[in-house]
Amino acid sequence: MSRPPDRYGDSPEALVVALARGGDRDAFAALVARRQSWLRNLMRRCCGDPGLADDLAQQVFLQAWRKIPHLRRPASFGPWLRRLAVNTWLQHLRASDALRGADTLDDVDAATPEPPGVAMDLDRALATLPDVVRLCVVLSHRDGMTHGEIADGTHLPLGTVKSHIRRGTQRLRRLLAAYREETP
Amino acid sequence: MTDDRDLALQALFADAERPLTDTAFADAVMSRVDRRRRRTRSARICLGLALALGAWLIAPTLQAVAHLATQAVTLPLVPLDNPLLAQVLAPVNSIAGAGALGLAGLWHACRSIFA
Repeated sequence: MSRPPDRYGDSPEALVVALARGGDRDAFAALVARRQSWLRNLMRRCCGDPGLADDLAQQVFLQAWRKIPHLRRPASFGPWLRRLAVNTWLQHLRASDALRGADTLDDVDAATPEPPGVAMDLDRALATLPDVVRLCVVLSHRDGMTHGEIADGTHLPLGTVKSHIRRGTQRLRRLLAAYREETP
Repeated sequence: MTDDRDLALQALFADAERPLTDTAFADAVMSRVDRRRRRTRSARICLGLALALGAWLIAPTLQAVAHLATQAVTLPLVPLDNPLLAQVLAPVNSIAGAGALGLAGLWHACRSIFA
């Protein structure tokens, strides 16, 4: 497939979002190019499977294309896209009935190997967390969201979010202790 | 801020980020977007055609109803034998006239009550 020239290379994101909101296909393609790495990494941390993560990321972008005319503030595109991603991930969990194990910290092996390094070890450690706990931990530590924002985004009670993050963080600290010793 | 913010973990998450900028993914997304656009356009064309066909089918019925309504509203309320008087009073001595007078009265009443 031939790629259109990147007409929006240096344009501010809010401007590109405003153009995409009006139905400009090339503007949306520029947004996909800009945000794909961030979104795919988020989905990879959430599900631990690069193939599934890319499928879900594609679904998120498709939803974004469908819903972008209703986005009120172009400047809030990033948080809006993250909300779509969280909803897509939660829908996927519901569809696969994965929420049943949310209260137990069972050991789960990472399904698909990542290239060796921090990403693989982190994904392996994350894979030991129940899906919803993992989501809360990723949103907190990777995206820097507050407990309240995570509760809003996931529709979970605030106390549950705090508990998930506390337990998940404790487990990650234990599993990734080697890295923590290296970090000054 | 969260209570469990852990700088070392945050650094690990940051280190784990891979620059995923391959064009295959973006191309796949845009090809699905293009498919959706084509489907949406086709659906709109079909809907437009269906509406046009529907309008064409019910147009005679609508026209007949409109014709009957037009005739009905000009019927005199009180039959007058004098043709000159009937013509002078026609604007008020009809269903349409009575309706218009009624609406004007209602509007004035509403204004006097709610103003």
